[in-house]
Amino acid sequence: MNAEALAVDELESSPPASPERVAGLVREHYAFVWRLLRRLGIGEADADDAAQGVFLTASARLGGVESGRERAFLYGVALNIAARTRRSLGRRREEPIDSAGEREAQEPNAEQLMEQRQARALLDQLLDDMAEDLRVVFVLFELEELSTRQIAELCEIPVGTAASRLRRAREDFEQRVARAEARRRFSGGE
Amino acid sequence: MTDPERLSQRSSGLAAELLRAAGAEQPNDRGMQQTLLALGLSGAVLSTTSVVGATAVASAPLASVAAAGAANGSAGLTAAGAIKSVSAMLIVKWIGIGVIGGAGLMGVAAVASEAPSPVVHTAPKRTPEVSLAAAKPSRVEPRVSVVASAAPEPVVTAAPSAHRAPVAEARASNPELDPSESLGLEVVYIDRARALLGSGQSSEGLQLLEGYEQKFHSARLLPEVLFLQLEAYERSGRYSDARRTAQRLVDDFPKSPHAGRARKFLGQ
Repeated sequence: MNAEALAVDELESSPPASPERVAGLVREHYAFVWRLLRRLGIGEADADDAAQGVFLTASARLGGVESGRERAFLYGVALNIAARTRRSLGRRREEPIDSAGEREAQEPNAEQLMEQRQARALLDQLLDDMAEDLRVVFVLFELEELSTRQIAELCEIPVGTAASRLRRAREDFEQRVARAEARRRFSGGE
Repeated sequence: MTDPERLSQRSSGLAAELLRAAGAEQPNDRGMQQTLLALGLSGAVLSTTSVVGATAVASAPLASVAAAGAANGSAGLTAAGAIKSVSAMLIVKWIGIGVIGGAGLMGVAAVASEAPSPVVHTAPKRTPEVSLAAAKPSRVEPRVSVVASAAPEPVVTAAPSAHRAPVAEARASNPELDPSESLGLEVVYIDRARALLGSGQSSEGLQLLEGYEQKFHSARLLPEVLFLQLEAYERSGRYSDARRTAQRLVDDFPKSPHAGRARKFLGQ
């Protein structure tokens, strides 16, 4: 099913969810959705909008989602929104203006911020080059710290397939990191 | 089946470094609050506004209060008792304003003033068409759109509400409005300015930022506004304005997270 068809499908009528359930969904899963979108290639400047798009879309069908399946449901919507957003915005990496709000908590110093930003930019670059099915499994395991069993449930694939994808994703990622490291050394970086 | 050790848990190596950096990235609370607002869940916003505490609850986002008023006095989903009572007072106030404004009880949450700006519209209750528009477009629309046109005052339009969003209009510069009630508007306003700056529309973005204090007398987000102004001036080559703004940021908000950036700019 292509993304647009899925988008329309997402709007098919379903019983309305209670405001409490929708609010709980946002509170409990916002960070997960936001981080997932970021690692699926959505830039900082667009991540809030994209996350909001996920919850707006999800809220329209939440009534038809059984309790306990919310995360899997959001995951599917987030993948769809991420794909559409990437297509429409292009693969914009970093926005020119720092998010001021991001700095409010803990406030690492400027150098640390810069290092973290650069590291994330490199990570996103490496992830961008991975096959989508490997990338998703990798992100869910390494960053969201889900188990392969949980990933299998979320992606609706057998556990063995999840484990196999994870193994290939890690090999792929580590090879890419090794190449990036070599390039950095060769170009006189740290 | 045993899962392998996560790469980020390795003690060293570039892979671990990259993954740890990504793990440190978190969304800010504002994004979640705005999502709740866009969904018409003002009560939930009240319960998640932890930064500003009870005082800020009394100054709950304007759109939130309006929406709550329109929701027949729904005082929030999980707010504490004190929060509820304050919210309820605001709700009664907004319902009253709505009735005086000639709107139907379920139709209009608040019509605040005749003053010219800025105008905040919360879109009407979500219709199927609106729903489609919210989810179908190839680009996820910004949460709030501001039209900085030839008209002297930009118009701020809130995103559609998915659940209960009767037409609500309020004007931030309305003398009847407690300025402290405008936190939601301030957030929306600043986000829009940031979006304009980020998309290269510097003059429009700066126009919003420069008008911020005039619009919002409480100006609780002033350090952030000054910070954005500083960066925008710098990028536009307006160094004297940037310097003046940086100095003000340092003088007036020395403990702000943004003051460090300002000091750096000033060479301090």
